[in-house]
Amino acid sequence: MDDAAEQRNGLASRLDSARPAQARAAAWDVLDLAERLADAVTWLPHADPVAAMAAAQSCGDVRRSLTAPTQGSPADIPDDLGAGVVECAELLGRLASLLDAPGGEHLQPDPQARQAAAAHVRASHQALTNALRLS
Amino acid sequence: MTVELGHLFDQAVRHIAAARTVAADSTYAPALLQGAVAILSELDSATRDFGWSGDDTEHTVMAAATNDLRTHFLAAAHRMTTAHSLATGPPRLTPLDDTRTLVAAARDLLNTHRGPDGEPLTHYALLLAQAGHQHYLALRMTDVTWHLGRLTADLADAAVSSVLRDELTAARAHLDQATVLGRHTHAPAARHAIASLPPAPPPGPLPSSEPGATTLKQLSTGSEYLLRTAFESAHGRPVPPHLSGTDLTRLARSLSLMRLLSAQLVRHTHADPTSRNAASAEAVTALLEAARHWHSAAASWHHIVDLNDPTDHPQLPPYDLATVRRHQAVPMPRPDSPHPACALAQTLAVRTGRLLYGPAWQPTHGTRGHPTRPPAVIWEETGGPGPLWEALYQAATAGRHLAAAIPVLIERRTGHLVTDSIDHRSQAIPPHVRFYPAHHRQIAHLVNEHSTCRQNDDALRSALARLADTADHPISRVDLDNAVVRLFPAPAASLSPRQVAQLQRISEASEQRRTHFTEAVQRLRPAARPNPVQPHSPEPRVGGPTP
Repeated sequence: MDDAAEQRNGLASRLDSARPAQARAAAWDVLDLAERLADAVTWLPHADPVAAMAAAQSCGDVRRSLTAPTQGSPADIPDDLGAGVVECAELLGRLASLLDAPGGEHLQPDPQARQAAAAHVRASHQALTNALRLS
Repeated sequence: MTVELGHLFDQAVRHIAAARTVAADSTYAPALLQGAVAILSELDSATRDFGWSGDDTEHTVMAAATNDLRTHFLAAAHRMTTAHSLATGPPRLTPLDDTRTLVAAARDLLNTHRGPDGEPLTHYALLLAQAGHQHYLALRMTDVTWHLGRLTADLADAAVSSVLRDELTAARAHLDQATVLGRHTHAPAARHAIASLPPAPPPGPLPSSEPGATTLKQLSTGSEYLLRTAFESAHGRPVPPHLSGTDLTRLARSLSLMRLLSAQLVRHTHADPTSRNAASAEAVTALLEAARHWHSAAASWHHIVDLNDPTDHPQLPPYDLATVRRHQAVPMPRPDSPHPACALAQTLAVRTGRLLYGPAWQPTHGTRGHPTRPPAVIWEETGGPGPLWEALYQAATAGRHLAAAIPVLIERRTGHLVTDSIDHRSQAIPPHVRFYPAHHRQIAHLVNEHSTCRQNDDALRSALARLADTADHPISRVDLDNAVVRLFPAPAASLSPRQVAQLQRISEASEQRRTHFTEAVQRLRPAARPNPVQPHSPEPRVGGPTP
């Protein structure tokens, strides 16, 4: 398992963390990684650039409503972009369900903003999945 | 079709010519004279509007010329008022009433480009301060006085009394004098760039949906608003909301998406070999190139965060009831909603996509395997290919000016930008601190990316103008926009000594910020804590072999 894959596993476990600050930081990191990953695959020959741009845009929209973490380091873009996109889409799906769940206040206290964030994350999940779907 | 300045004056003159057909009937004289006086009073106000006559401090190129012009306008109006009291006839509607409305409309159109204090609101307002363009306005006004002079001559011929005839002849002499003065300022040109000046969009937020507006109208209005945002953010008064770093990322991505979808639209509508031509191929290439560059401008914001945004606000205690009742509670500024331009740019992209993929399409659906609408259906919605290419041209112009404005904004915000990039991280920054002030190379990269976007959008503008030409829909604003582009020449390829010094100052300031930051971080660390092992900064080994 390479470093980037380890980082993504770490993100998944931190996302489920019971400590709110850690979970919030992980949510920001997941969105940051998804945005950069979507930008990285945009112009690949087999990718759908429109869906990839939409995914990056939605991730950026949610990220701006969250507080940036003060610690840790940014996750790296994996060498295998295809596998990275699949794993990152899973992380986004997990984040959307966390935001939807009743205990999602620790990620975003404002209910309206949380609802909007969940919708955006689901949209970016769908777009990121579409971006590399083989037609 | 949008109203243009030149058309208004053309129509005004045409109506005076129409009024000459009834001038032989002496019973029309009072109504015609009343109309003529009203037109002269409009022209008088129009010359005052631009501070040409230098009411106090501002003396523009036309100050002296318009002062003389106005003397003749007033003298002619005075003679005509006397003639009006001598002539007899019933009140009537004449074509001169329309002329007056058109001259007033031209004044209003020019005023949309200026704020209540006369400050410029658009790039075009800057053009209006230039000699050549003011000469054109004076020329068009004297076109009106020339035709009014001919009408007055006709009225004098038909006059029943010699006193009336004398007054009318004197009025005509003043009108002709004004014409000579106006023409003297300018060699008559066949067509001047400022003639295609459109009205500026009204200030304030754009209504989310206008009832009855077509997709094309919405695309064009959206682009005009973006153009004004570009002007306001770089040249105008700094009024909130400001474009933050996050807004700029979003904006760049939306502009990229719009160009990509436009490329697909042009390619789709020219898929048929009979409709394919060199201009369409060139437009597709230019659109794709612009899309790639705007996308890489968005990607150049990776790892950079604008401190004012995401919403990192201190939690303040709530206001007490008495303060709220006295209306003294002022909420903290919260730039947590995106700048209106972001939503606008995204809407432009979605609307372009929906032209091609149908009204229910969303960017997140992607375009792979999505059914497209046949060109005939698209033309039905846009009224043919020409108007659509013009709308895309307007979007390219707005993008061009945004790309030119963004480096200014970035330089203003340099102090707010922090980064977590490992590429520029100094070893002195402790590992537990994630963000540190952005490196000047990162800022330079951002500025470079946007400069490339500006060049690409310039090329895109000409490609789309050529595409519109092949669709028999020449875009009249191209000359006007080129004149605006010439106002802000691109910086020279090699740096002047002043620019080199400036760059050095920027990089020194950036270094200083980073040093301050590192020092502050190190001061904050508890003194008793042992120095953690830093993998990137091994302790110097005295006397040992260097690795």
